[in-house]
Amino acid sequence: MRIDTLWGRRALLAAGAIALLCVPLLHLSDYTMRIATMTCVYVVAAAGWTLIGGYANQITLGQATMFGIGAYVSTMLFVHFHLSPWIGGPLGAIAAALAAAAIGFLVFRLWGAYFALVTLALAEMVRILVEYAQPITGGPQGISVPFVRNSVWLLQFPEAKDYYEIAALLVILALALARGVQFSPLGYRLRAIRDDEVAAKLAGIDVFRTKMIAFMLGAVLSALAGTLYAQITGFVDPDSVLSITLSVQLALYAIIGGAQVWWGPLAGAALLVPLGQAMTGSGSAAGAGLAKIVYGLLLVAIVVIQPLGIAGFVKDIRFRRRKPAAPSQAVTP
Amino acid sequence: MIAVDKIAKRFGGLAVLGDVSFSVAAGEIVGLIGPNGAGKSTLFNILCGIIRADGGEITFEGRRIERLQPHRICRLGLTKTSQIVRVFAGMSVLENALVGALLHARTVSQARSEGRAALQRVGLAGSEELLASDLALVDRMRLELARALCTRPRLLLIDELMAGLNGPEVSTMLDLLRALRDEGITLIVIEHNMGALMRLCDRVLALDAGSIVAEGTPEAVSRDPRVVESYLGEKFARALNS
Repeated sequence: MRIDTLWGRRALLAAGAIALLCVPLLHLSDYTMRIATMTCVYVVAAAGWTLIGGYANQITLGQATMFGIGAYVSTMLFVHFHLSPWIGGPLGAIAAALAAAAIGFLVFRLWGAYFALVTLALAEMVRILVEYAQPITGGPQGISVPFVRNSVWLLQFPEAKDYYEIAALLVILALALARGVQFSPLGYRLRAIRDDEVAAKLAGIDVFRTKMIAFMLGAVLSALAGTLYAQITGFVDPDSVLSITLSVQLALYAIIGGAQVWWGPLAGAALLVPLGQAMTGSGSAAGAGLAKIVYGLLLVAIVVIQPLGIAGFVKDIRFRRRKPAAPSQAVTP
Repeated sequence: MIAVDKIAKRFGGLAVLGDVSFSVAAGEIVGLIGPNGAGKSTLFNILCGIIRADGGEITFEGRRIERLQPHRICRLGLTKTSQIVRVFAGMSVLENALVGALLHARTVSQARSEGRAALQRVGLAGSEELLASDLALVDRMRLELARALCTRPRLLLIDELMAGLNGPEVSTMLDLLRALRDEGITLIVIEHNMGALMRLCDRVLALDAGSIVAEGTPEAVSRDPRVVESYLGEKFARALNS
């Protein structure tokens, strides 16, 4: 079934958003709700990756930097200055956007190629810096978010599942932004850059500026996810929020879900986060190892079978339907 | 419209263009001919900012543009179609045109309708929803022309648009290019189809080994001994002028 009218599509999206918010009504187990909440966090973080890595195919392997900045800035402001994450989170997002601007300037303007490698290297630099800045960041041991009280203002609740509604709202916000971008002039420009940068320039697109905007917007999303992660887990350390593993995971969620569509991060994270949790949650090291192997196999399968990810199956169908070609016609001056 | 003064370009030790100077008046259709490797496409790339010249000045409508980025130059009203056809392969035909129209359109829907109109003009009406990569080469060239038109150029550089077109298609393409000129778009055209060029152009520049070796009406240039020797060949020139 295809829903083609504008209102039909809007109704469908609204229904999806409401369904997402109503998940707690299903009275799932605490464990399941915890996974659902964490999935939401990663959907938002991966949506940040999609804006630049997916839409414009500027594969960054340093998106954890943005996630980590969001987590650390809000947590440090909370620990040192008792500032609510509702303020610390947006400040973290601004910090991440500034970091993205600096990295983007270096990579998009000066060094051109090797975006993936440079973002990877810079992300490692940030991780090492944070480890050395022990007095304020807690160094390699990390930093705890002290539990003050059950409070919406402090964004603190006893259980991970209590964060679900806020996480789901953030997902709706992030995907609305990703969708808005996809069908906006910015989205078309990013896709043009993805396909052919020189042709994009010849069509009047400011390639540098367009990439910068997408990279900075994506940084904001990933940073907000980072803040929420810190509040939920109550603890941040370089390994959990600034690692290469996390960067690769975020890219994988988006790629496997479908890097060119706004709902790709949702599809990818909804499939992979529970999968990973289930395997690592079994408690054995073998489970954790197995999760990585499964990720790897899935990635290989996606690259070989459907480079566009889960979304590719849908997109393929769409274009196959359209294909009956009209013969080219004579030029009419 | 445009004045090119002593443009030079070297790729490593190879001098591709040496002090090329010419100017084109508004409303002209100027042909650019020359053997392979003469520097025609390099000259186009320099004019629209894809490649930076080593020296020289380019003045477009009173403004110096030799140091501007391609998108700035495009915004001023100068763009080109490429010899190696460059469409956005992963986008639909309409989206390709739409991207060009976004340069001036305020909204996506306005850009979409401008794109539709441009596709109609180049003969791609009915193919809007196809994936650009599914088009035949000839149609991809048309699509590139449509996208360029959507940026509302005042000077359009066209790099080999006739290749692969049959006789009647060449004629309709020539009609389209003349119609564009009548609407106020100045054209510089690289073309190996000499017959088409002679019918289309007011003036022809002949480039050989990075220098302009002849300039004048199509007839005069095709008789020029240096052009005959370097490019056309004795036999072809005689056939052309008989």
